Amino acid sequence: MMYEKKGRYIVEFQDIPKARQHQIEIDLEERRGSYKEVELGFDEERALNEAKRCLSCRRCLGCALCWAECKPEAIDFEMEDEVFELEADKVIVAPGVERDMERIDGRFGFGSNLNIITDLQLERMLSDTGPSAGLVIRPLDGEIPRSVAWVQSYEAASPQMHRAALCLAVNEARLVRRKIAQAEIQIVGRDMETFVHDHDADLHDAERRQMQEGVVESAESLEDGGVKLTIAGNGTKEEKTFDLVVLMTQPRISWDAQSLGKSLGVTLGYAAFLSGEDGGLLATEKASIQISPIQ
Amino acid sequence: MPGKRVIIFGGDPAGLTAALEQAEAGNEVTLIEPSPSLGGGRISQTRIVAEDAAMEDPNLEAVRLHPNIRVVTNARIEKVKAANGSFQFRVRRRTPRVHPEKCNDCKACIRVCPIHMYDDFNEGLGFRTAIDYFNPKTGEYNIFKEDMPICQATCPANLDIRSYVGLIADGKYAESLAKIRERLPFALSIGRVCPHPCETACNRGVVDQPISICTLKRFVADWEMNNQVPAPVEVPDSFHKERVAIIGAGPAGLTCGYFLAKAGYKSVCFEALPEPGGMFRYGIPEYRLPTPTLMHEINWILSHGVELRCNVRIGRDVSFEDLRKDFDAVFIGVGAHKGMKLQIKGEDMEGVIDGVDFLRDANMGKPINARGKVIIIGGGNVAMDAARVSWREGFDEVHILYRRTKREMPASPWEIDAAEHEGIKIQYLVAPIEVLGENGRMTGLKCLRMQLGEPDASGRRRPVPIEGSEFVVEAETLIPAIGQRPDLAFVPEGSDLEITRWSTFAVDQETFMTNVPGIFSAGDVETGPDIAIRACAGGRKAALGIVRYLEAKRGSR
Amino acid sequence: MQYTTDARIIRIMCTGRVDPTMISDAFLKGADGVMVVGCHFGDCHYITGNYQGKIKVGIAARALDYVGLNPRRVFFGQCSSAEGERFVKLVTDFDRGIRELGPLGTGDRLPLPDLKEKIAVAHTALAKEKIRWVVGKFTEFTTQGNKYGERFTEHEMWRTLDTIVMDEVATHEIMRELRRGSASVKTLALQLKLPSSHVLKYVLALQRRGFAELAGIDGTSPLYRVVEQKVA
Repeated sequence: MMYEKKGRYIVEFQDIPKARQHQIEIDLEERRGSYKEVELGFDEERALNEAKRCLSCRRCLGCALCWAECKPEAIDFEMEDEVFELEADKVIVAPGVERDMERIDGRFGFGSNLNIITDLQLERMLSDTGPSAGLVIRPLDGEIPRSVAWVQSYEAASPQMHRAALCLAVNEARLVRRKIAQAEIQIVGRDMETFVHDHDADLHDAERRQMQEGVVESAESLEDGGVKLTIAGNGTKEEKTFDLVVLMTQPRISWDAQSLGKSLGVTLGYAAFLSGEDGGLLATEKASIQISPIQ
Repeated sequence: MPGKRVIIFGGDPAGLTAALEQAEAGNEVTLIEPSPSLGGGRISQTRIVAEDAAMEDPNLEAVRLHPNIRVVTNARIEKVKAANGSFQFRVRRRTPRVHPEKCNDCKACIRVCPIHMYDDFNEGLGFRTAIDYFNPKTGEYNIFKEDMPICQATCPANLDIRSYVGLIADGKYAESLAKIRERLPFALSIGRVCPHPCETACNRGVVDQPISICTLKRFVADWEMNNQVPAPVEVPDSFHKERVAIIGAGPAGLTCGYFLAKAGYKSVCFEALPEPGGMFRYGIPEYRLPTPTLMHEINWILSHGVELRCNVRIGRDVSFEDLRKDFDAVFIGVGAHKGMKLQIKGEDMEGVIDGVDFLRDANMGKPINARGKVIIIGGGNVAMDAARVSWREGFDEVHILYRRTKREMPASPWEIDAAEHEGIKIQYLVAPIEVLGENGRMTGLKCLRMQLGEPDASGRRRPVPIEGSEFVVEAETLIPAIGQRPDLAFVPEGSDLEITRWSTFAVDQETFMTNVPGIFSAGDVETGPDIAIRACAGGRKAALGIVRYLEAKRGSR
Repeated sequence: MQYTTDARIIRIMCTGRVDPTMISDAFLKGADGVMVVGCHFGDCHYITGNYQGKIKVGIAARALDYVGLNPRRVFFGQCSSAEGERFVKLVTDFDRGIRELGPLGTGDRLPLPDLKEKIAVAHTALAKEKIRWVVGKFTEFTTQGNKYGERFTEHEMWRTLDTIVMDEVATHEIMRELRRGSASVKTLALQLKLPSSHVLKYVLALQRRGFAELAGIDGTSPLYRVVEQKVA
């Protein structure tokens, strides 16, 4: 899975060293004119300290406590993967999207302030099946935000992609407004005029006013968990504070879908899979393969 | 007309819509979804919708109930083949370890599960337990059991890092080393030279700094060597009669020989150079991997039943065809020792020596005319090694020229730091255009300054020349280190061995057999220039492939 | 041979008989230190009893350490019935160590009465099925392996238990507060002196598993309460 890396805290115990141990190295003077080994590895003390830092990452322990508790005896540790061959005359790829989280610029404060989240995280929060059972709350303290800003966090790789991100933001803003009637809402990004023009019939007056042309230059964390944004646009600079900031992110095709495309002999590019209108499937250079755009 | 067989990958709304359309048209539809359950509602990204419709996905139930649609969740594609207008797929469905027909969604399991973990479905907001439902709406439970921890999955040799690091923490050094040797015989050497992709992937790196996995491996190997602990040699009581020829005594070849011996097969390893070790011996400078340490390890590997014949070049001293006749299988692990050319004027002048050749000469102790200034071209680890060796050899000034910036440099950051620490000057955004000289002897290098333009296919920004920015650097030695290729001169003309356009062998990724039965290959000559542990990993897999091949051959006789 | 009169001896058949909750209970009942002394490894009448004892004392010590007790207050020692002098030395040394620390609440990371409240939480966590079950699997996992046949190192067992201890302590602490009345994540975090983002994750996990639910919204604060569990 994609986010394998994150999500656990490290338990603080006094006997577990925090800092990474460093190798013993010889001095610079000893190196010139000689081929003496530079790095000398760990002594036993350093090795033990370093080994103890290991988190021993593991998901299921295989402890079978669930199995012991399961009355209908539905749990089966011996159940094996199922491998089978399939033959098809026609292949349709609906790759869905991933978000390019690693490339979000540091100036947006993602990761350092928990009240700065991504649009996909907000989407989960808006869902009744989501982590907070449909409540929009701040991940820092569980409070309901009174003001929410959506911020463009990418350099758009294509106009279609930018449009998809803005559509998601407008839709999310509508749902947030429905859940938090008094919420102050703002969407900050580039080329807003084009977007508003293209979607004029679908937008309410109040929504048009929420769309702000601009670039966020920095996001500063405030003591109460709020975020102060510095927004530059139309030759002016302004500072504004929000309870929750949502980063609009760039969709990308998952690595799995890309490698599948490769073995089918088609190239999956962003533009290719975003340019289809309203869920229509997109034919590629091979007649029997269709690539579907994101919904 | 009977319906077509349609496969749809991805159970997102577009995939669901397509599935329904195809099924309605009378086609037989299989829907493959990578996550453990079809997704819940998703917010549209192609149009602006009314609030009521925003989260709904009316197709979900219809798809689940349609008689023409088969839904396979938690599945991924392992192999694709296209032939005669149809496609063949091998699909692997990960086991959920919960029988859905028995489960009554009572939540008893998730109440007792002791493991809280990152919740993928909810983008990390909140926890899930190791046994849990993925999407509460569908109530489909699964146990999330990783195949391997991230460090092990990232390691090309898939070393069981979690175990061997844990065994060090427990103070059980010999057991830890034995754990490593289950998959890798080169603990001493790899523990010194590996750029450790495992550490880059280490989860602890997200929180503070990753575990020093590589140096820990070195620690247990050093512990055994320095304390004169006898290294165990575990081979079967008797060997099979088949023999295997190994071409090249480098990381891949010796690893292959080691695992062949453990499986009961003797091998003969032919090495063109005077000493074994391949790139370990002739590519990696002495200050990173001392020869006595390397030889300690190689002698232990050879003692398993690998016969070494040095100074034998296949194609010159012994013909490739003879090897095929005299041995039951042949493994090719000749590495990539041929430096790439800069393709600029004056490159054949005296004073220009390729990075790989330079490192080999230095490692063989050949005298090097270390006078004045030396220029190294390139940004990889070979360039760093060449620079640091030059500095040790006594050049007055050592310069590295690289055409992009430090950010794009492929060398390991700690090698760049170490080079800078040793006083080597690295100039970025500079490209060579001509070697200048007198009477065939180099006197300087004409260069051009560059700037970064648009990203290229590798994702790195492409350097573009700045017009009129030419300048000349005076230097007597130039070391291009811009990449290597395998030297396949030993392969006889007209051989039916399949060779790729990168001068590497194409092999089956499971058995490591080339298109010619009985000939196997791994290491740089198969992958192109890569890190040593990948060569070792390939050598091991090839050994397993050879064993299976020999067993099958014996069985068919 | 003489040793301190402050020691109260409790005889058990085997160190393997020690339950982790006995140790937390002793502190709740006023002890300033607990030492468990039994046979040397290899001398066990029940073969592996003293290994079990070491693990059980170990998990109690780690849970109590985590909530703020000075780890020097818990000690696992070994001495045979023929080693009277050794026993006296163990007791005297331990007694000296405890005297240096002073009574419970001094020399620990928390003062009284907060420390006792936290020890009570650790006591609940140690009594519950999760820690108990995994502790019970310790030797099986390190010698034979788990359900998937994977063998654990001891280091890994302890790291796993550490994480479970952390989750369990936080969870039971939150449940204790919620039983006193519905509360928001913010107030829980203040009362328990935990980062509010951690509290939120645990509250949501409790909600997901049906132990807690939304009770209402006060201004901008969602309030949570305990779900009364049906007795099966």
